[in-house]
Amino acid sequence: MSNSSINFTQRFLSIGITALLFVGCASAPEPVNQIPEGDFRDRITVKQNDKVRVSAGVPSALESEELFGKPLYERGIQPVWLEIENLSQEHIKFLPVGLDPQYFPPLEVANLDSSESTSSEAMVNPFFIEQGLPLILPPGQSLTGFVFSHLEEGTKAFNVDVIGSTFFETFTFFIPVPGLQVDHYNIDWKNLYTSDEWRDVNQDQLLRGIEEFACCVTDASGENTGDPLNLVLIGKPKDIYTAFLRAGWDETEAVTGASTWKTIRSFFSGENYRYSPVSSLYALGRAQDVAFQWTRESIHERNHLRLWMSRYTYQGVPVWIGQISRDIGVRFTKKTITTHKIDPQIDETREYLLENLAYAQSLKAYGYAGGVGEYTREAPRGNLTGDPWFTDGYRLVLWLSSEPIAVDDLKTLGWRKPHLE
Amino acid sequence: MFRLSGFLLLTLLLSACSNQQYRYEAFEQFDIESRAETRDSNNFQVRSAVLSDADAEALFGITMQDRDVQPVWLEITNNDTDLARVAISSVDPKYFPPAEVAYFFRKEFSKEGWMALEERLMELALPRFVLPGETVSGFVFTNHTTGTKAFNLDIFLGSLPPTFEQFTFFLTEPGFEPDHASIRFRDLYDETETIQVDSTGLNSVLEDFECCTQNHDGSERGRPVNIFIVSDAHDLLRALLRAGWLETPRSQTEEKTNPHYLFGRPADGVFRTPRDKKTDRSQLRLWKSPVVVDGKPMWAGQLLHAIGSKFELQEKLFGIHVDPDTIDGRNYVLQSFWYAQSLEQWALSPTGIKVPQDSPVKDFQGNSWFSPDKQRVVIWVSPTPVSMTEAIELKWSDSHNSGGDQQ
Repeated sequence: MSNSSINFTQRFLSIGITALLFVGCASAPEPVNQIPEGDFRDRITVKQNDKVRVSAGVPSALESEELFGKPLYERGIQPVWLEIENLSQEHIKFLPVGLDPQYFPPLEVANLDSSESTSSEAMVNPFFIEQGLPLILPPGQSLTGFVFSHLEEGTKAFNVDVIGSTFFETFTFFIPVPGLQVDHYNIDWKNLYTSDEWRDVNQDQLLRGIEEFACCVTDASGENTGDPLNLVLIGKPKDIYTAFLRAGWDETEAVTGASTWKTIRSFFSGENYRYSPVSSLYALGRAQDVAFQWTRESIHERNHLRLWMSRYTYQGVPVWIGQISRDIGVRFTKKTITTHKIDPQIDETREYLLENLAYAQSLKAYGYAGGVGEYTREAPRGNLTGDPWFTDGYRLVLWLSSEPIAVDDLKTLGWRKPHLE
Repeated sequence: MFRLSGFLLLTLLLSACSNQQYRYEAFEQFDIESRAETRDSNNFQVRSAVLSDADAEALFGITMQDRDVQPVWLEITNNDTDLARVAISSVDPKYFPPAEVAYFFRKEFSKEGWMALEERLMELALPRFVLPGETVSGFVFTNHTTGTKAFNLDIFLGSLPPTFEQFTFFLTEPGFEPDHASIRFRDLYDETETIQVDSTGLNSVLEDFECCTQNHDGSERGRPVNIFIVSDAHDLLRALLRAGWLETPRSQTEEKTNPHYLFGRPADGVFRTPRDKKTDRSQLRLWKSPVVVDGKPMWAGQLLHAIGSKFELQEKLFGIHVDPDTIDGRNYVLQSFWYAQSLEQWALSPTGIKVPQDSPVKDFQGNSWFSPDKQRVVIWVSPTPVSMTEAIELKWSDSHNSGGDQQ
């Protein structure tokens, strides 16, 4: 065994011990609002239910290079360390495709720099093979290893999907990685409203409530209106994050006074947002609570989605009002020099989201409500940067699920029927 | 400052050039409907055709292929009593909305020309909703693919319980043929060669199944056959497309790129998965086997994953290295069906070959491989979507423990 292997083994022993320590105090408050310092072993996050315990850590660029002897971040590769303990009585399966659909197999990482002349034997690198994770984990056993994922800057957000014969569990992790210029904060979802402001509503009340929301977002002053509030989501914060990550969205955060939000510990403990600037838009008297983006080929081709948690709950589950738009390019403005040009056919983007979440098995039911008001292509409204938009005036209501739901099980809420009315 | 001035000057110059009017030819001139293929179900008829690049340019007045956009024409007739919802994303999850396509080409036109282009693309785009008794038609602006345009179209009905219809199209452009289109699958085996088995007896059949591929004359061993798929051909193709696998043109599956033989022939179909836009990393090779499981054919296969600094698997296999770990690929294929909602049932069969990682062997091309467990995966493909929790694991006796589960 080489010296480096010995060091590595020692490291792993200590990782195991650290993980055990963290498991022991999993209910203790977790640090928030700061980028952790030190080795990734100090940043291990543990999540568990009665069947599985998952510990995860993400080495920084420097740590990855030390661990693997290669500048993996420079090659767009980010190792995610996992320990999965099977607490159940059955064989369980860990599915790395759920963490990254195009993860790198260990021997691809080992041979990043190999050439045509590299001998085939030399490519069988035992050290990297040992870092891989098996598919199946017998009862009572644990496994540790790395998934080599695509690099994400800021907070590494990922799902760990574990499946047994009787259950499917997605553990959603948000792990800040040091060395990148990012901010993170948590929102105290439970204390967003005072106890007398929360209101659990029935289906009729919910429809009415949704239709009474303002038509559109505003600027900070509240005087100028922008894009339509064309989405309503029903889901716990966990459902929202799990569903959007599974559907390929990334978190973003606004660069504004929104960062004055209290950052006390939430029930969504220790789970931060990935920071990536999107402009702040306002609804319910504040900037968005959550923002996601879905990036396509270039930075100019993104779908943006902003959400605000309303004071309504339906069957005890929070109701969110939201806005989605699709960037189709960049244009110049007097106010902001450059801004993204949005697709004026705003309903197209709204309907795309339904399909996107349904195919990601993240959607339980959908329906439509009014509340925006109809605007035609000939007489469109404008957003805050002067882009026109037009719509049939309906809000798409999406009931999310963190449990996978097949697309042919998708239910309808049976509310408004925009295409028949 | 200088840079900014230069940039502004360039912008002004470009603006000065953009005074073209938008021109196009009428839809009726192209007789698109006559070349359409038709799919029928109980309550729906769907027709579809793909345009050549030249026709697309004439019809839309823009060179869409320059931006990797390919319009696909669809016509949907709803004979149901419910409103139908067309899932545009099922055709291409990264389709382009009409306004985005228009924006790509805005600089070729005056402002009015750009708006006219946008209006035309919106008018010709496929609507998402079809009323009962109505027929709608239009284009989906997809990512450009060369050769066969293979896609699914999913239609949802808002009724309770929800209803879901799927249509799979394989539209061929002139001069292109996918590898599997040239094979007469029905004639591959006669009745005497066919092995009929049920799912419980399959494991013992697999014990006698070839461990590995060979070279063309069968004189040297290739790589392990560790993936089996039980499915009708059509359902299999649909599931592969849904999971993001791409077909391979027949021209690229000659012996140079497809040298592994099973049952005395190269793979019946090779499917590729691109990791990013330009590089293909994995090849799934499939052969129809003589085994029929509960009335459905079984396909045998293997996954090759390129590693090293050259990745263009579809163009050349000589000079690239293949991942020696044959288990990761096997597991990847299982997961690709799982996440694509196509996995009805699966099993591990400890009937493969065991080659420890500390003593790898070489295939006839000189690529090392190892397989520390003996497991082969058997995948039963569902013709309808299955959520991940609904997929059933079939356990043959002690299949988890034979040969170990180590990667």
